[in-house]
Amino acid sequence: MTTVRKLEVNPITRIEGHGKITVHLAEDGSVSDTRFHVTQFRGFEAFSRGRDFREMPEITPRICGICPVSHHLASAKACDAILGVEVTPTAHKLRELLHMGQVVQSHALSFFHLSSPDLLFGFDADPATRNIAGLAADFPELATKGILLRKFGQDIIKTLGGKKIHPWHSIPGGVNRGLRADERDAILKALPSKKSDTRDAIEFVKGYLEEHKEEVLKFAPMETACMGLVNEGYLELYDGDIRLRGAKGRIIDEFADRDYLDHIGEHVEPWSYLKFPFYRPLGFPHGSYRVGPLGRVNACDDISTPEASAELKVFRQAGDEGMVHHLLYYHYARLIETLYGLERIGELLEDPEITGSDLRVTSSEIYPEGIGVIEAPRGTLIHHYQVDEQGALTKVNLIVATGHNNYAMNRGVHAIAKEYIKGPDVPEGVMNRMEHVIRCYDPCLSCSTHAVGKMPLKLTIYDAGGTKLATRFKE
Amino acid sequence: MPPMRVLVLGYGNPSRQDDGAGHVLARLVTHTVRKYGDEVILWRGHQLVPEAVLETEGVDVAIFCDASLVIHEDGYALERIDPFSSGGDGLNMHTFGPGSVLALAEKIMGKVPEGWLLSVSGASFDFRDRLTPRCKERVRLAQKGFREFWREYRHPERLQGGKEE
Repeated sequence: MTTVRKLEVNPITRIEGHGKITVHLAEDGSVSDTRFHVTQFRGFEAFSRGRDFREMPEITPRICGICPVSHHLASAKACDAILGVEVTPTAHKLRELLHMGQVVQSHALSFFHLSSPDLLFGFDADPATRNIAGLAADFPELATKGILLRKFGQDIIKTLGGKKIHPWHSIPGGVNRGLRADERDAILKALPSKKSDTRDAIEFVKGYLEEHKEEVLKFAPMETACMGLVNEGYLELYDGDIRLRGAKGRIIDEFADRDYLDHIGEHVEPWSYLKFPFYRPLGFPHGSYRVGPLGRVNACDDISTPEASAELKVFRQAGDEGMVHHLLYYHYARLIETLYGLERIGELLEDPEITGSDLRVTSSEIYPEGIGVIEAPRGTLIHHYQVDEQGALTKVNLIVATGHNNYAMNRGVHAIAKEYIKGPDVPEGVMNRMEHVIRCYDPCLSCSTHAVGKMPLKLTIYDAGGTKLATRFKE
Repeated sequence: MPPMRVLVLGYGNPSRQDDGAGHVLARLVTHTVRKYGDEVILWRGHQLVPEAVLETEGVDVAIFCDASLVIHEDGYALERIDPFSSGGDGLNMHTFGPGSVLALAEKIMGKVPEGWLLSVSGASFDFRDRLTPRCKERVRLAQKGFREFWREYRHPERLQGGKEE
């Protein structure tokens, strides 16, 4: 019988919410198994039952403090379906504008604040300086650009939704507020500098990936299928069909979002609250795939805006058959999407309909079911509601973006562990690489209580008999 | 003393019971500071985030209002905060602390305001949007303590209208 030791890395820092990594060591010190646990339970699917469906665009954003807009919009779309209405062109564009603000602010947070310190200082650098404060000290220009880019996205959210976190803008059948011309002009005025800053960040990432080819190649290598919304083949973040492209570049399937249940199943493991979605025809785990920026730019044929489209062509030179699987390229893909988001903001604001006053449609119909799908910054987000004749929710199914990447995150962490861990003594730099795997996917695990969230990184080492050998804290 | 520009930052999750104490405190602190004719900027959020540094431009004093897991002897604590050139509180978005905001201010804005942290011990962080009675009482004590501190800090002759509350 093989003797197994267990390492725990708990929690993961600099991701939205907290997770725990357990590494099981064999007797010879090699890694036998690795698991990325999600131990938070949210319960929104359960406690929403019995509520009126119209409340959901306000309730579900509380799932997350970083991407509440995604839940807000997916929920509103599901409610539109229950009412059996299509929103007006102005409402559609305002919702997309709100969404682009969300994508820009969330991607800026992920790249500039959470991930760039690892790239600039190195995975093995002193953790005391490997953070946003260290970034501001050594690279103040980059830190400032990141802060201002995030603020730009949040200001759009606040303009439309009244506040930066948990805004209230979309309602079943439309939106509750239009955009004034002076508000449009203020956003347009700030746009060029944000595009310029994003292009600078793209050049930085490209340089990093070129200079660190060896690390890129051995950093949790894996090839998977990729999923994302497309609109006539183009990258789509707000409203489109769901496309799954195989690891070798072949389009496996493309289907309407309302048909997701025919194509996507959810696998459950007893050691994690987060389910493992998979493509039904291939089963679990063969039908596992990746979503989010890398998944989306691989799944689409092209991007509809000129600068992001040009950058996508450069990006694809790093892969075979147009598919780029390197995990660290998530950052590059994220910045391409940021550029797309900024270009799309410009397009939407130049459209005369954006300041229109036809904001909502009403309906007295109540259909028994509604499905809303959107591309959250982290990946495909599905809201599915069933209601009774009065509109009270009888069933709620939420497939959150982070879940789609659950299998890939587990495989990625395992790959790093196999590559770097040779016994119970795990250097901080190796722990940080495991964290960075998770950070690449930028998961949203749970919006924790602010004060309770102050937990240090904890590493626990167990022997084969379950006896604790050592515990390390990363304060 | 001439009028000051004061930034009050209240943060925490108001949907998690006493985690919302920072928001309540921030409003009370703002009220007290305004009584002295000082200019007040009120910033509130679920978490302290790096872009809060943008609010520090031209600010003389930054007062951070937060809930705390630590049980303070008086139910609250008021302490001076210095900028961290580095530090663990910059490692995690959930724990981005006041010291990091001041550090960013120093590096990015070129000037660091005087920093104070007013924190109240929370009693429960469950899914509710009201403070517990125990935390409410601690907030009251914190408000009283801050008023006394600010009166001394700003000199009583600056108090407008003769009586603060």
